[in-house]
Amino acid sequence: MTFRDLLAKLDNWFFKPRSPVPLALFRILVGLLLLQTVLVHHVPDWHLYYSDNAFLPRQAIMAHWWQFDPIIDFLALLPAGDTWKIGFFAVLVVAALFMTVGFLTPYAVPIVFLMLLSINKHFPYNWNGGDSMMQLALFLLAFGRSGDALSLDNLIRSAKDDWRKVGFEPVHSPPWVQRMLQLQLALAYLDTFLWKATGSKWIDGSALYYALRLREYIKLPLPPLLDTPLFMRVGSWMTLIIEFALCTFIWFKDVRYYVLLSGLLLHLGIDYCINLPVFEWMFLSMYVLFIEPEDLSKFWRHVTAKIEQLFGPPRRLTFDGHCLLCVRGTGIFHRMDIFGRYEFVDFRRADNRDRLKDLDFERAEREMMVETEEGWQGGFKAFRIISRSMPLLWFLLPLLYLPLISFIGERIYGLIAENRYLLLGRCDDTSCSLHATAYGAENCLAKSGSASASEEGEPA
Amino acid sequence: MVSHNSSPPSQSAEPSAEPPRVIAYDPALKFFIRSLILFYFVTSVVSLLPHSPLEQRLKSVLQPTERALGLTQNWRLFSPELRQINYYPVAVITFADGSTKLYEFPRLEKMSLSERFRRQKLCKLFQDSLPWSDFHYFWPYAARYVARANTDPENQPQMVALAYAWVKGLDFRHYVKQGNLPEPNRLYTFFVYRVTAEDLK
Repeated sequence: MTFRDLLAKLDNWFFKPRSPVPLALFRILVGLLLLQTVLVHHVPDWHLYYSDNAFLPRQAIMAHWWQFDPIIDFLALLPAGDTWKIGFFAVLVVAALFMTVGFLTPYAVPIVFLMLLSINKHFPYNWNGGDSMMQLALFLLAFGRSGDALSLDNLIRSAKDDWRKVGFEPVHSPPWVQRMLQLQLALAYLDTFLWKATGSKWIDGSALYYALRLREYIKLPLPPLLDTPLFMRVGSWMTLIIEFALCTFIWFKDVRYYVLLSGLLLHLGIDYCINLPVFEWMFLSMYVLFIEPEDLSKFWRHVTAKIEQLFGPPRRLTFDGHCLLCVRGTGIFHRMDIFGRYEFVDFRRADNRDRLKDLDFERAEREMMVETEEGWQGGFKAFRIISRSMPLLWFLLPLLYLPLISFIGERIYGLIAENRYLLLGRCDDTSCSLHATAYGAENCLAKSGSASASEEGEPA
Repeated sequence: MVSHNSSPPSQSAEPSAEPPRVIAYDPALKFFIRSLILFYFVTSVVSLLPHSPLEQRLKSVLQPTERALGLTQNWRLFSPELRQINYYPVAVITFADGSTKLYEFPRLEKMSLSERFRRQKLCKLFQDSLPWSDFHYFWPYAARYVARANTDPENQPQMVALAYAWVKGLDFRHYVKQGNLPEPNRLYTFFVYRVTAEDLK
């Protein structure tokens, strides 16, 4: 192999397009950890760190910590008074929420990064390794396309497409940000391994004994059976071995998942014994970046299969394949149905007729229908049933069960359904020709002005 | 969202299996990204280098950008060596009438599990920073904070001594179970501050 070959391979590794799902999953996890950091860990002692009467005044930090370096701290630009600072933290929480759900992601992530950086610079003495890793990750994420999957952005963008044609696979893009994050994690493990390896206590196996006796770090007491010299020795050496593996063997596909599993056990063990909130979970969240997208899909299919075993097969949900609004709406439901609880059936298609013998087609013409134990339900009621069985829609449930909402909902649903062709129009020529059936062919043909018969799904 | 396919595609309306759309970068963008990758990698490695003349030289060039962007990193928690003492910071306040009071900074080990989980960031400030010489610039501010927190118009604080209570004795050769750790029993004063009237305003 020549040096040029090596560079080409490296270039390929950084830039060959691949699925953004691992990066998107990481974005969600970092968003949740950031929310935990701010809401759970900053709030209880917020006044001590950030208020006008903080433990260390702003001027002191500026004079002795910032010194003459350029610093980004938007908190320092705010007028005096705690209200402004509280507002700053409120904006950070909103931005972190946007980042987590993937709304306006290309803006939310850089904003979150700059705000977190400001907090760090404003008061650096409550910052631990987990916060540092989060900040580094956000810096890199700000350049990535983490909103291309598992996000509201993607949901909104894809609602304009006909999912029956383009599918649900997110746009593939160069994974250089994911690669940088992988390298960052490996670098952190390499650094900590090298520092530990130069210390006598890690080598003689006593390090764990001392680490678990620092009173301020003790989280839960060690089970008495494990509080032995032998366990301390084995634990210390295992830590070294696992951290070494996490920066070396992790790059080999055939052993990667074993290495990740050992890292998971190590961090869970530390998290049980040592009180370092966010730190362990920040590192663990980066493990998803090492999981192949195909394996994530495989894992998810396994989860949905288990759910199917528990709750029965997916229910049928019918939609009008000739109505753009219905197709787009169903596409959104399809994406929200992460556990595969529904089977989306176009009642216009001739080849679906046999499977929909029990369906009231006249009613299906008017409203979306969903199969339940009590038979087919339609309209607003169907929407409520769907929301109940899709966890991503649970946030709507309190609204859907307000008094009188059923009455109002049915009316609104009826109004939209009646005018559904007027709202977004009918299917275009292509989808008509693809999906024309006895039920809708005449309408499609009338719209396209063509007399030719459809190529697939001929009228029954 | 994760796509799924729970029924035969010919019957239910499942998406077609077309290849995913792909985004490729133009050469200018690729050049920018390569530069960024190189910058980040070099900055990270320099940030992690052990102390040496070379490290000093490189840091003098890179550190301003590194600090401005928050790219400084170190992963030396519990390494290379671990401390063998337990301690907690306190302040001894001397009042105008000569009486003294021992002021304890928040101690995580005295809190309930949920409280010490929520307030763990206090550990960094009071335990990992306050008693150490790197923090000496801020000792007067810490002393003033303690004085202000203990004002009494009838009997104002006059002096604040920052100290830590400590206990030696963590030694692997003389194994002590986690539940039998000795309590800190010695006091070491590392800073004394004379409080002025200005400080209490």
